[in-house]
Amino acid sequence: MTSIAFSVAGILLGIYALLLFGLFLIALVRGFRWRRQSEASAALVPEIREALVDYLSGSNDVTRLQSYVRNSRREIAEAMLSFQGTVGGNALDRLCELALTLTLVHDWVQEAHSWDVVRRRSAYARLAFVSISEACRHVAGDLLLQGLEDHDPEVRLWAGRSVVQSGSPKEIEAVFELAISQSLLMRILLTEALRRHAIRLCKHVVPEALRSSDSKRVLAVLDILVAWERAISIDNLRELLEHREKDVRLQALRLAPLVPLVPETRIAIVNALADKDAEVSMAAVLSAGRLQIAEALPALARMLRLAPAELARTAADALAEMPPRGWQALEEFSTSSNPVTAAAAAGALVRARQKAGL
Amino acid sequence: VSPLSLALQAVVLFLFAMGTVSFIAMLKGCFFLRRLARSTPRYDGNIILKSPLVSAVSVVVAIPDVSPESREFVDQLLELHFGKHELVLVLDGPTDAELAIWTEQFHLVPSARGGSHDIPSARVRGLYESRDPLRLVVVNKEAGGQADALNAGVNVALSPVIGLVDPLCEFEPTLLLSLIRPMLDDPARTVAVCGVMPPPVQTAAAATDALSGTGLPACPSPPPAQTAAAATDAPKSGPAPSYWAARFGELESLRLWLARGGAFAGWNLLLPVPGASMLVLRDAIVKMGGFRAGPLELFLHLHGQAHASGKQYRVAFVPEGVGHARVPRSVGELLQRNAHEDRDIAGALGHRKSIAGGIGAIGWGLPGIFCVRFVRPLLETAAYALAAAGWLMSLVDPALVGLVLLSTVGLGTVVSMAAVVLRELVQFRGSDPTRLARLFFATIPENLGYRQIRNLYLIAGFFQSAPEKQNRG
Repeated sequence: MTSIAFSVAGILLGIYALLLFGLFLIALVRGFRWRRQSEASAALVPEIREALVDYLSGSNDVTRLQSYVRNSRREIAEAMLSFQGTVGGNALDRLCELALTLTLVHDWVQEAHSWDVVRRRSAYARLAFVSISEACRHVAGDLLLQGLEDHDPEVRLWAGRSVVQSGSPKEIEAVFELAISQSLLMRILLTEALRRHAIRLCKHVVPEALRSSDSKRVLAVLDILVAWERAISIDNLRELLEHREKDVRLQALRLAPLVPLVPETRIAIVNALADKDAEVSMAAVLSAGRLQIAEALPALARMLRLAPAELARTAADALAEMPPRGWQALEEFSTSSNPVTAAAAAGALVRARQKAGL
Repeated sequence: VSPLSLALQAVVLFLFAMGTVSFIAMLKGCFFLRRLARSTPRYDGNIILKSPLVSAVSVVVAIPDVSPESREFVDQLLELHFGKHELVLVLDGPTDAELAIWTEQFHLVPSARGGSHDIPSARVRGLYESRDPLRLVVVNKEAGGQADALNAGVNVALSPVIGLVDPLCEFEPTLLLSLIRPMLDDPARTVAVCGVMPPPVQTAAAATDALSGTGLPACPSPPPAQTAAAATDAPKSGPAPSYWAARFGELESLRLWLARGGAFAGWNLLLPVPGASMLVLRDAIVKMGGFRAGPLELFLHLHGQAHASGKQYRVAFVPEGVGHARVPRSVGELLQRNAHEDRDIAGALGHRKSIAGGIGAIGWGLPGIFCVRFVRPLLETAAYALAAAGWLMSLVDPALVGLVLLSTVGLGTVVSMAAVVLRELVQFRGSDPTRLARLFFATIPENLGYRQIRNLYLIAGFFQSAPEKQNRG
């Protein structure tokens, strides 16, 4: 019995080992192919880059590049993409035109329909690069807009970026919609691309989204506005500062210094100093300091005396932003019998005076 | 049939079952990691670096001494790239001389910053900040052990996310940028992130290249770009790594990456492994009452608490662009690393009563780890001894002795070979064929010699439960 078990186990393990050895051989062949390909690319890409530099600097001779196109389309695409972020204006237009002439754009459009997500990602990344050119966009057609609904997040990201570069206002609104409906990560990545359309979006799209009853949507819009760090006008900031959701209140307070100050906003910020949530009251202290809201002085002084160490330090820093009354308060508190209050007040006063060159 | 034969047959069955489960776990890990690689978008880390929407991170690290390795580790942590982060360095009961060394190295001055008392910890003697433009806070506290030091660090940390880095890991400065991604992708469900990857090709090549003069075969020279990368990745101090230690270490890392990383993440049972770096929500740590044994125990507690509350949660896994366990310089170092991990597991098991869900905090996960790390080595070692003795005394059929060898050496070799091949399936690009072949064939000596010694160390690691000052962040 044991001998049979030994034989069966031996045979089974042998089969497994052979199977794994077979897979290992396949991996080995793939490794060799990959190495050969990498070595060939490493040798070829500098030559292609050199030819591309010649072309971009004015030469109209594309025969050298056409000779590469026959066998090394991937390397040409790689070399072209390596100019991303380093060329602009006419040079970029010429590069896009070249991609079109060499029918690379057509290849990428084909690949963008691939079921293989890796190929599709790479195709969209390349199309995003050349989508600055009207002619390339024409070849891509609706593909970029379709990409906004792709199930792969990276494809959506590239599609969004390319649409933002040169899309119509409606298309840019679609990307904004994508940014506020997706994950925070996607929002962060698209926010940068949307920044240059901030003013136009703030006219209608942003106020409309901020009036939404869906707090997640409101929070997403606030996230984008905070990340833009641009002076903007918002009608309903007070409502947001008094929102039932803590996260919305927090982001609204962070946004407050970027929005033109009106009396009702000032009142809302002063009220937020007494918020039950320590994080919100901390954000309110920072906003009050940055906006130099004089009405907040008594509340800040109270916090400096009574609040926990970190909040007291922040309150002291906020007071330091409001000379002369804030400085007077700090001078008084720097002799307080409470060591936390005294240290926070003295420290903030020293830093403020140093900053003012006194 | 003698009782000895029966016992051996039972052990053999158990060992076959364990080997099969390990293989299935690695297969599951491979599929999970492949899916993860396909669904994870690549993007420019600079956007994350600059965005004000990304949470701040406080990296908390407990340092027990002033050894050059500890100081080098702190230097590396200070070079991390991130938008808003700080390093909270906790000195657990330093002597005046030790404090003076840290003060001199970082130009420390007393800080006006106050810590919270959210978690109980030993008395904090003082807080210091650097006069240099470093985002560093140093906590000088009375000795209380690793967990207590981490608690003191969390009390001082201001950020909503706490970072923990295993000092036994090597990492790139972009570590935090990679780790934060799951928290941005799904902030509502992600309570913690754990990241580890197998040693990258360059590091393994550097370990092999360092062997010139040892008489062992060396890899062909990598291209110049690879050599430069290897120079940064290779251990900066100490003797050159041993060829076999590097290979065996890589095989162990691969198996852990696939099974304890990929598969456990797929089942949402993820726990830290050697070389891992982690992010945990500060609120979650405070809610758990802080650390009691170390990061492993904390993660068990997180899982247990989340299971108990019935809420949707995940502990996310980052399998690339993070740190990896340091390439061991000798087989001895590798064995010690194993013993360290065993002590961490034993420490967590020792605190099982205070963990929500106890030993079942991650379902069958913890008992499974216990079986793999302790029961299997114990039974395997016993089986070798019994089979040898029984064979010599003619009490055991030679075929049974063969089965013992098949269930240990044979199955172990197949499992390690599978780890090498499955990694290739996870990656979208081919590996260096020479390195791949070396690793594949290193599975044979790994299971014919090293495995048996390792078993002894794993058993000893569990029995050595005496509290020890560990350099673990």
